[in-house]
Amino acid sequence: MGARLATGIVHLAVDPADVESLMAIRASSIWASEYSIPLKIWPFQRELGNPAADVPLGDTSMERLKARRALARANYRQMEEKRAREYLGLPPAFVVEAETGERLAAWLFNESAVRESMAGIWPEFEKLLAEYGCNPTAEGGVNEWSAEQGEINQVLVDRGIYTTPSFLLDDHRFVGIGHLLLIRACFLGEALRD
Amino acid sequence: MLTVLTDFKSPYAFVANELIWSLEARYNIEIDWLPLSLNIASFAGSATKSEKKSSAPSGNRSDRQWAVIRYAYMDARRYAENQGLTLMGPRQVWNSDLACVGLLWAKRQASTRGQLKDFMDTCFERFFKRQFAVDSLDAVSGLLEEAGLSIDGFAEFAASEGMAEHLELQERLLDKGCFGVPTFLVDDEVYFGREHLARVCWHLEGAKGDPPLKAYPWLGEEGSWEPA
Repeated sequence: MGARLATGIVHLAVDPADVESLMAIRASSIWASEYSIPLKIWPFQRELGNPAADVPLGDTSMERLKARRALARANYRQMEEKRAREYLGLPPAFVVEAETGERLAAWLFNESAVRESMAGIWPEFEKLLAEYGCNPTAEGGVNEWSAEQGEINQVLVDRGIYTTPSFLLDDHRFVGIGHLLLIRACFLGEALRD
Repeated sequence: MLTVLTDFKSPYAFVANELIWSLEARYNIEIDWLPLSLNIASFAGSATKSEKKSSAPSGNRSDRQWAVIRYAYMDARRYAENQGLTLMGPRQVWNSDLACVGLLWAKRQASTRGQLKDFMDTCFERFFKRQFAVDSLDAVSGLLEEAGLSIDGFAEFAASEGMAEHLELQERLLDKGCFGVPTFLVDDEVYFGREHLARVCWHLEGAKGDPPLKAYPWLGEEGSWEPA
């Protein structure tokens, strides 16, 4: 299974129910195609929720601060998702419902297992999104994964992936969509120029 | 008009500092820098690391919080190295309120943008070399002086008006939905994180055409931007 995360290939971990992941699929698909970078896209079960929730209970003022900050963060994330939907041309209420998410995850898993690269895959994936449809009122999320998907998930976890979208290139990990320039530099062996 | 929220103990604010400052020359603007003092214990737990390399840090962080923190430092360090900066992880969770008040004071005292930039640059660089205690009045005063700024009245300002202004500012920023650094306030939009710099530039250029994708630009060979 580890061989599926071969070196010299950019691996992208996504949750199809996560709008930022969809944005990452689109952007990296175009980017990988433009620069001839081999790309594999794996479905990944991210740990939901805010890590701040792990902070032990504090005094009243600390609890108030935690609650206000959590609210600010949640509101900001909603705004970011709105920007991502705009970027993708998706309707404002777009949500990938669980069943659709599972089908998209299974498709990504199978394609990544058999294709050498998924560069340029966005148009195909976009068609599937439209074909599978989305339910604007359903709650998002992917509930069920196959055993094989679970295995690749664990391989990704073992490599330090904990959220989506995340990129993996050899020993380098990148969280979020903002690192494409640096990932390309890493791929070309030009990383970390001083 | 561009407002940027920063905190001298944030690795992400540190690696964005030079890039953000370069916007002043590029767009002929004066950035309104505001301090947002992160209460790290409130969202990432607390931890203390002794000077012995082999000893494990103590504190109340969960595995998930450690994963996030460790990734953040690894990530920020990549970009620090790009810029020839030294980024050492702090050995404790700091309260940077006093250094933030120093920024408010520096904004009042600086007669040139260079003085303000010198103060900010030095705060960041020394903190991430573990040479600057952000909670020390003497240390903050020393860096203000190094930047050529008067410190006459700073101690009193820090103990009264300055700290009150800073704490009131924290409340207002939280009300506005700001919770991390660097955060950019431009054209009534809020952007958290350096990956939005290309989009901030797009706003400063009049928001013409489609907004660019998020990217982490860094300074190019001639000091130019390399947006995606």
